[in-house]
Parts: sequence; structure tokens; C-alpha cells
Amino acid sequence: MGRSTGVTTHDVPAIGRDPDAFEAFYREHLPWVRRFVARRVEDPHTAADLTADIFLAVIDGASTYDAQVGSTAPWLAGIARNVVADHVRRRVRESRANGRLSGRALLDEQSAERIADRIDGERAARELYRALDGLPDNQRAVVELVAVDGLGLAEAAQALGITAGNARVRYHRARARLQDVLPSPFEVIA
Amino acid sequence: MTTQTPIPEELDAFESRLLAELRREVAAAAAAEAAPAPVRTRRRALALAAGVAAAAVVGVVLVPGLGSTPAYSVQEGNAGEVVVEVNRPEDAAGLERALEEHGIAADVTYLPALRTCAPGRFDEVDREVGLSLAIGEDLVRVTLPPGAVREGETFVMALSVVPFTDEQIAEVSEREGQRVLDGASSSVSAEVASGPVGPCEAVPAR
Repeated sequence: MGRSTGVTTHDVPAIGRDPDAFEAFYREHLPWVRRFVARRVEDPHTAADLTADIFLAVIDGASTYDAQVGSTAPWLAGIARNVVADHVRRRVRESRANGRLSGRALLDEQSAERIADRIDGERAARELYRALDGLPDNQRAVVELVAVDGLGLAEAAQALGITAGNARVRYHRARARLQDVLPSPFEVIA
Repeated sequence: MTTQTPIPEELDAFESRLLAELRREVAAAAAAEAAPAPVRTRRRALALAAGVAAAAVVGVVLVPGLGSTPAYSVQEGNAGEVVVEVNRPEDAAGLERALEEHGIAADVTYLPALRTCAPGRFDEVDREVGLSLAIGEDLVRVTLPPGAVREGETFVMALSVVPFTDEQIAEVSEREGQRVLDGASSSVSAEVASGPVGPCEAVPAR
């Protein structure tokens, strides 16, 4: 993951009402979502649920997308993080309670194995993700997107709707607690 | 977020099915926007969805339909998949005919109050069919991938719905943090039979 957001700019509001626009977005961002989820959960069924939930949230959020906010990638990152954080808070059963469509119900054995392989490959990132458990929520959100998902600080700030300066402060504070596991801010800002 | 040029990747079976479902969500959202539906203050909530590809027993909060939705629909998707939606357990024969029009022999049974058909009425095909079952806000949806039901085979679906007790309604209300007026638990099974399908002898579900 680099720092650039050089991906296609989508007409985001169209994603929520035009199936073809949605499909283009889905195909482009699915690889990123696969990794995002694999860095956070260990169970392929949960991963399938979260993948479905993230894209459902994209559909729901598309109509209120504000183009002023910036490019679509941080926007997606912000949505994905909320979905997973929400899942962690409410646990599987509660989260399923609101599900319009169940990701795991669409899963077959082969696809589940592919997800399991992907989860295996992200073990290191997942350990880091777990190491962030002790951080206050607002620091954690920044650190997660930066250290786990490789967003730049500015992108993470965009994703979370805060200023870049604010994101930098939070990252520094988090690093004061978790020096051993977090990359230096210089690597992050570079 | 990535400096690599995105390489169009093959979707696996799960990702293709998910895409098909999500496209339907988008189409439904667009339709709802274009023609505002009658005010729906009674939100339909899903109580529990434990789904597996072939068969599942689930509990769903179902608020009785407003009468404007058809009892069922059968649609063919872009990838040749056939999507069956059941909004209300009515007119099983009509649903069978609708499936027949898509070249799918079907045996649909709606059973009363959480009953199921006694096992042994047919032999299941000996392969991974890839049926998927989803419980939405107001319907049961089964997706049959292309070629799921071959010549001489039969798609077998059984559905039974039982209204929630007052305690169950109270429990869901509390958990969802909103008023739930009505609800039901459903038991759904969807399978493909390799040969003839015998009559359904209703027995208590699980």
C-alpha cells in the first residue's frame, strides 16, 4: 500500500442507485476489502458477513457522499472501519440481527478456503491489529488505518473526518503507548 | 490507497453471488427512490439468520405484508442464476409453474407452524449444487446458480412459518431497540433431488 490515491474516481452517488456503477466500484475495490477484512478476523464466515456488510454500507452511504471530502478510497476505508468496529462491539449475533443479506449464506466451500488462505497470509497484520486493543477509540481508529492498512495520515484523517493535524497528534499519542509495535511517525508521514 | 494499477481479478463463486445480491440491493434502492413506497413505519427486522447453502432453519421477524408485494417472484439474473423470492407462503403451485417457465422442475411445499417434511422423500443429488439461501428484511430468497437443476432433477423447497409468541416479540423489541409489532420464525429448506420426489409427510421441525 502506498500513499497515492490514484484510483478511478467514481460518481459515488450513482453507486447507490445504478447496479452497473456499483459493479464497477465493487470489482475495483474488492481486492482491498478482502485484505482489509482478512487483517481483522480469523473466521471465513465472519469475513464473508463483513464483506457483504461493508458493501451494503457503501450502497447506503453513497447517496450522502460529499464529493468535497475527497477521493473515494478514504471514504471506503472509513465505512469499512465503522462496519468492522460495529461488528466487534455488537458481536456476531447482534450484527446479524440487522442483516439484510447474509454473506455467509452465500459462501461455498472453495470460496471459504480462499478466504481462509487470505486470512492466513495476513497473520502479522492481524497481530498488530489486536495489539491496538488497549488504545482509546479515537487513537485506535487513526492507528489502525495507518499501521494496519497502510493509509497515509492525510488519507486516514479524511476517512475519519478529522484534520490531518489532529490525526498526526493522535498517532503520536498512540505511539507513546505502543512504541514497540508501531512504525515511527517519520515512516508514516514520509 | 494503492499505487498499483488495479488488475481486474476473477471473482470467486462467493464474490459473484455477493455481487448479484448487491446489484439487486442497488436496483431495489433505486426503485424505492423512484417510486416512494407506502409509508412503512413498521420496520421488518431479522431476528436470527443461521444460513447454510442447502438448508437452514431460521427465525425471522415478519411483519405481515402490506398486500402490495406479490407472494413470490422468480427472476433470472445476468449470470444466468435464477433467484426465487418468497414474500408470503402462498400459492406454492404458482411458484412451481413460474420455475417451470425457467426450465426448473420444482416441488414447493408450504407447511403450517414449524413443521417440516419427513426425511427420505427424495435422494439429494451427489454434488455441490451451490444453492444459496438468504433471509432478507421481508422475504426468503434462494439463488440457484446456472445449471443447478439438471434434466430429470427437481428443486425441492419447503417453508414453514410460525408466528412469534408475545415473549419472543418482546425479546426482539428489546434487542433491536424498537417497537416490533409482529414476527414469525421460519424454517426453510432448499435442495435438489436427483430423481422423483415423494409426497411430503409433515412432521415437527427439529
